[in-house]
Amino acid sequence: MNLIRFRTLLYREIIRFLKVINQTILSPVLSSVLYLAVFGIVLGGQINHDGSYIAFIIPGIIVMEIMMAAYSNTSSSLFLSRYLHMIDHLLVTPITYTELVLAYIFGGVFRGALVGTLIEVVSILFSPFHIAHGLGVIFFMIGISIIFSGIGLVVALWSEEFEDLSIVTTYFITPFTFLGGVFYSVKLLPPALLAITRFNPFFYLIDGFRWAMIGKSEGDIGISILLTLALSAFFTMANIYLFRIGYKIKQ
Amino acid sequence: MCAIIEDMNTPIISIDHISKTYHPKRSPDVVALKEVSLSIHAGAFFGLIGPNGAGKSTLIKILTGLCIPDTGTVSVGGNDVINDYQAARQMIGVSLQEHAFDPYLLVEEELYITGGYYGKTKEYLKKKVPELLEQFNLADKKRTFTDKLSGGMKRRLAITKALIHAPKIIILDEPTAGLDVALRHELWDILETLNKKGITILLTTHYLEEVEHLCDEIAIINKGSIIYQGDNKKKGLTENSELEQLFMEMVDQHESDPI
Repeated sequence: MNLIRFRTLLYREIIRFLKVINQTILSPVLSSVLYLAVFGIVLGGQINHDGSYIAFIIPGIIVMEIMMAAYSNTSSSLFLSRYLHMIDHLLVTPITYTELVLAYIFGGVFRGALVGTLIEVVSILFSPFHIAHGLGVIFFMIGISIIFSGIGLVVALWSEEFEDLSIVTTYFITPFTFLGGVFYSVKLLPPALLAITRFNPFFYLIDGFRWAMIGKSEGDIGISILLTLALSAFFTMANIYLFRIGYKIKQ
Repeated sequence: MCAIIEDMNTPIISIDHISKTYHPKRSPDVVALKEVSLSIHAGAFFGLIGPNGAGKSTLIKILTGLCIPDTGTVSVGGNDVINDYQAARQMIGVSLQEHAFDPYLLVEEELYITGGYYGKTKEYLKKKVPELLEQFNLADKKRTFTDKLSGGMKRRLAITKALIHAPKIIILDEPTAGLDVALRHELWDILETLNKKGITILLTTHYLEEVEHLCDEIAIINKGSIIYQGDNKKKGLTENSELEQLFMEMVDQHESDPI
């Protein structure tokens, strides 16, 4: 592992999204404020919930924005790079596939963590809270960012057009996130839907982060930790393999 | 492990029986290269010429790792381009036919970042970047976004990027395409200077006068096969012929050969 090469690509990935900070950082923070205002303050008082509803949805909203930020960062960066043939200029250099994948993924982690942390800070204005497990927050924030950065890279390699990037967001990430308990307690679901939710991996990621933030969990925290580790490792290795065989980037 | 070849008579690039066939979706297979073998010696100014679709770009892509051959081996400075790709690519500077720059980056940033991909330190780049910007008349554009440069400036920036890590070999795929005569001659001067400094240059171009003027060795490629390799100054088979005549003869002869 050559640290200069890795750091250089990571630096490029970070300055790329910082140069369009309104779109990449401030926009998701503003969306979260709106979610918190509408669902937390306006509607929250009407919802019969065990404990503070706004405190319950804050971790869910943070995870949702972390997922989208990490996914968008890698998918748009790599796809644009393929689309404009910039990737060829990277592939002719001695950078290894491991360095390349890790730099892209950590670029996504940085954006995900930045967005997540800013929302966390802003959400204190809505509901002052005490973080239950600080290390857990860091673990899930980084782990979830790695997973969704990794998914973003796979999708960017697979996609033929810009539209394909949003297909995955629209038909996969958004529904699985919303049905994973971002805005509601899964205990409110009828037994059949609750059983289905148990097969939704997003539920365990959201639940794990919620446990770390407010100390409340609706699933098995062990599964959340193991799933985060397993999916992070899987998507990292899968991307290294895809780059090594030159999937859609080499002829 | 990085093998370094310094002997001028030893090939610095060895291409051995390379074949490549593309399998496009919903179209017949395209044979791009057929058992191509080629040697380029250290310090050479080597011109690879051929008609459109002859296989020039595929060969360049294989050399630079952008294309995986079906059969055969390619080594650069004794390093296999697939198994020892890090060492092979460290020796090469590439200016691809389609030069694509990061639209988010300034000219100066583009060079620093490219240097970083080659593992060059900040100290090295702080010295090298201004030097190259000066040499290629881009110093006053260092704080300009790359997408704001003119065509000629982009070509110069592409070559500057290829030289950022002080490579032993530079590969230039159609470096003067679309440039006016003055800019083309300006680039010729730069390339000649680089070659005199001992850098091996592999050039592909459509302009035969460019090859005639610059290159000391040439290879003609047609329909995926090398049909001529020799010394440009002797120009081989046809006595007293100009390169254009030789090129036409070789291509015509190859077209009429039974396959």
